[in-house]
Amino acid sequence: MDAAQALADLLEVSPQVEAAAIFRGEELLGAVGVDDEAAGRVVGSAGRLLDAAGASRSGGARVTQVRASLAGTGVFVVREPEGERAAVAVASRAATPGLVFYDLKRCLAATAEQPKPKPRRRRTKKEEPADDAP
Amino acid sequence: MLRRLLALIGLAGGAVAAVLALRRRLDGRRERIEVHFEDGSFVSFGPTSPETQRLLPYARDIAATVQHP
Repeated sequence: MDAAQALADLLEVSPQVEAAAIFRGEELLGAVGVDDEAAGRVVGSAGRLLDAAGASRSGGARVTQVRASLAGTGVFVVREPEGERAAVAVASRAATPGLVFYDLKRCLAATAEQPKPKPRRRRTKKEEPADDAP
Repeated sequence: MLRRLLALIGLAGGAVAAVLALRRRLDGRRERIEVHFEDGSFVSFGPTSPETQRLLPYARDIAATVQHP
């Protein structure tokens, strides 16, 4: 499933989500509820939020989720457990955090790149020994 | 005597309920940050925490960009 479709589905199942985006590093992979320029700024800040949140604990534990409760709104960021892709959503304060996180993770999983199939090794016939032995 | 006691209990119960409701409402307005880690642990930073003050600007940026692009 492509990112745009998965994000559109997210907005349908979670009406409290105002906007969401999927990104990898600074690269925007898809967004809904905002135009591309705004989405670029959103994912930039979301990436910096994840990095800054990682510094909140010594030992370099990897951050997988961040939730910021602001006046009237909530910001949710989820990162793939083993991967560099992440998703960010802005939802109303009334949104149930567990559900928003669950939907964001589902969205990420739905758009996960399928691993490329390993190329099959061609079997080569062993060369038969030549019959020119004396 | 019994009526007075019941009225007092009712009054006290009402006061406790009002305080709880007010507290819940104020809690809902407070800004806070929760960070979850790979090992399943998480930390929650309250409104006065320096971590909240460090992380909130990014979240505010995100919300402001979505709401007033």
